[in-house]
Amino acid sequence: MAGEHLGKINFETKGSMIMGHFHAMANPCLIIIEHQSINKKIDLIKKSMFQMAAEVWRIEQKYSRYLENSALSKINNANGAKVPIDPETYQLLNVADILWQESNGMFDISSGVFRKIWTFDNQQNIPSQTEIDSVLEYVGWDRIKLDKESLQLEQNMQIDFGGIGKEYAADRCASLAPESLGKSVLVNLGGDVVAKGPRNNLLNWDVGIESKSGRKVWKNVPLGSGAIATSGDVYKSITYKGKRYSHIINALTGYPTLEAPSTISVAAPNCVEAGMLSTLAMLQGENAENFLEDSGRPHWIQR
Amino acid sequence: MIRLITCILMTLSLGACSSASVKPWERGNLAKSSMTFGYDSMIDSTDDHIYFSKEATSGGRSFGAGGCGCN
Amino acid sequence: MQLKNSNKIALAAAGLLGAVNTAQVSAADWDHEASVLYYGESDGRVQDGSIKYKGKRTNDDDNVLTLNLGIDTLTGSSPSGIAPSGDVQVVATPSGGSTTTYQANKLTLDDTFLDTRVDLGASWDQSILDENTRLNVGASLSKEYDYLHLGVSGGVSRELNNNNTTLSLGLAYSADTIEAVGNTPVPLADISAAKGSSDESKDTLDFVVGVTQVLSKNSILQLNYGLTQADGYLNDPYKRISRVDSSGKIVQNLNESRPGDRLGHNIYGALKHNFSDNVLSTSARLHTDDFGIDSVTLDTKYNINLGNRRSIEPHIRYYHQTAADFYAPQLDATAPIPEFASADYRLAEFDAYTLGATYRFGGRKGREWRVTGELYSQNPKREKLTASQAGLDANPGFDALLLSIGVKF
Repeated sequence: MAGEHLGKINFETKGSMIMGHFHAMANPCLIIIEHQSINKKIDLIKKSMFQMAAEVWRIEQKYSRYLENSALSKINNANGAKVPIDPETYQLLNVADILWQESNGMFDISSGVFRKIWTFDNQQNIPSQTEIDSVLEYVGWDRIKLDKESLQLEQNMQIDFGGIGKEYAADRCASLAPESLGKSVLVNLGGDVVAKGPRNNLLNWDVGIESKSGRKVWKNVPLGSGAIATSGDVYKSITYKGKRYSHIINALTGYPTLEAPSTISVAAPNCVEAGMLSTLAMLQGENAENFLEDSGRPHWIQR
Repeated sequence: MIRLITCILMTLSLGACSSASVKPWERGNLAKSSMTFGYDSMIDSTDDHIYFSKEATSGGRSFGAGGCGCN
Repeated sequence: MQLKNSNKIALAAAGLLGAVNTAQVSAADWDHEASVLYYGESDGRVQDGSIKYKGKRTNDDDNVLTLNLGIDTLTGSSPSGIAPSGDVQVVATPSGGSTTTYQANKLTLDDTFLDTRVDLGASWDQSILDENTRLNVGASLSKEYDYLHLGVSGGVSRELNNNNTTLSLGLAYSADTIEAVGNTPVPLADISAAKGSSDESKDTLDFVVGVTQVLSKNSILQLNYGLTQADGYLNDPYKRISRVDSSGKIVQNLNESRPGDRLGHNIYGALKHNFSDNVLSTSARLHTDDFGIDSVTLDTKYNINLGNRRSIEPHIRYYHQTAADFYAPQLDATAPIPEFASADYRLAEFDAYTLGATYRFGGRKGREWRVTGELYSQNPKREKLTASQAGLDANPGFDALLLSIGVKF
């Protein structure tokens, strides 16, 4: 079951565009390449898409919580021992560190353990304070020892790259498109979008942000080059006793952020930066707008 | 995560066609490998070679066969 | 809460993206294709196994280098041209030095053919003058025990009308050397007569002009006109023809003889039409030459898309040719020997049918696999022999099976 999607791409042609649909990181993914002479380039385009998707699958498998031998599992199963890490993992952890600092500890990649008690699917009750306290014992980025070559978690701590991994994969995927195929390349990994350059004839890509009801496009954003990342919880949220709890857990309190917007989309030169800003903004709850104003990046918020 | 829908607008209207000239953005189906002449050139040239050895005609889609002492 | 330092965020993102430096998909990229093929005829006739490879390298400037390599191994037997007879015949083999025994009342098959053939080719394709005009040049070589082929080719193509029309022109020249085993037989001499020179040459010039035209979003047409002029040794050094008397007795066996030049023309038209997910490819070719051979070829394939990178494509082909002017299954011993005569079954009048299918499916890492199975049936027109040879067929025709597996990667 786990690896069935690996290596599979469905191709579709529309005008002078080729679209490659595939599945990765539990999301529907899409690469679009538009080129004047796609007839001549068709083999190279398809081959490149396989190589670009392979990079996404590589990152997915390397940081998979479900694969025993993944780099992430080796870290999470170390039982308190020091684990060697490569430059890629170190840089991802550095991004996690900046997010922890900038959010004053509200974003913490060791807070994944909360998913045991906050399931967000038809959850009728919210966990008790005792339950939350018992999980909080194993959360705390400040307790992690990180240097350029190694990482050491305390026993029973777990980390994951949710909120960082998909955006990183989107940037990496787009960067692998060969120069000879031009700049009209768009990558969409389940809502994290990167455009290498505009469409043919310098037209912009029309990126549609889904409405919070999930059934239509709320807004069309023209994207020439760069990235748009979206945080949101249309499908995953709890309404309990009249209060709406978003699915991003505040690592300091163990509770989901209250009064967070339904969706936040941010544009930035790359998807990692866009994703960092939208995640941090979500944690600001009712202050999301101010936060993003300060960032200076274009943003769209649905409440 | 919300899925972003990527909508592609066909901004240029098709207008009146002059001499059935197909515009670049209409060439989707023509780009299919099965719609491209010579896409399967290896099996085509193998077939051509076999027919050249067993029949008295050669050529058509490309040059006459590359020569052999076929019996 | 204020954003403490948006620069810090931008820097962290940049640091992450700059960290891992894997090579980009190389712009100068290779496409490879390989296939294995088996061809086998009925009645213990020819069997052929081959392996082929083709590599194509496209670089940043859209220049294309193509290399191909193939190896064929041929075994089995082939009709000698000697007439079937009620008597057992013992004749010299084409290579000389030994004899073959042909059974009575049977097709006279020569099983002395066992050969391996290697062929190599290279071509270069690039744009010249502007992006709509392209030039291609190529060279080819093939070698088997008794045959050497050397060839060069060149052509130009031009796109017009927003890539809706492509005009192309091509020229190819081959210089072949036939080194018949046991030396070249003298045409129309007795098969056991002394042989002639050790090698002969044949030159061929091919010219093709064509147009490919987009008819609609779903249709594309190709029309070609081709001309072939061959000069030199056009005989098959191993084929014979018998002189038979009225009582059906073979009086003498002669080496065959064909003219020293051959000029042929052909017109070819092909149409591809896309029906939502499926594609129909159909073509027709008409040929005529001064050997007196006229032929028509009709070919149709229908590619059915099964989804998930799989497709199935049934295929039918019909071919009919008239006999060469100098073809005869055997010669009348009482009549003068004509200037040219050949009993080669490939110059006879026949219908041929092909029925087959190709199944394609996608593999890992973008590979495309192809499995093809085809049945070929050659049905010659029954030629009348002498009354005493009644019941014997000089050219019964044959069936053949073709199986092939290929992969693009």
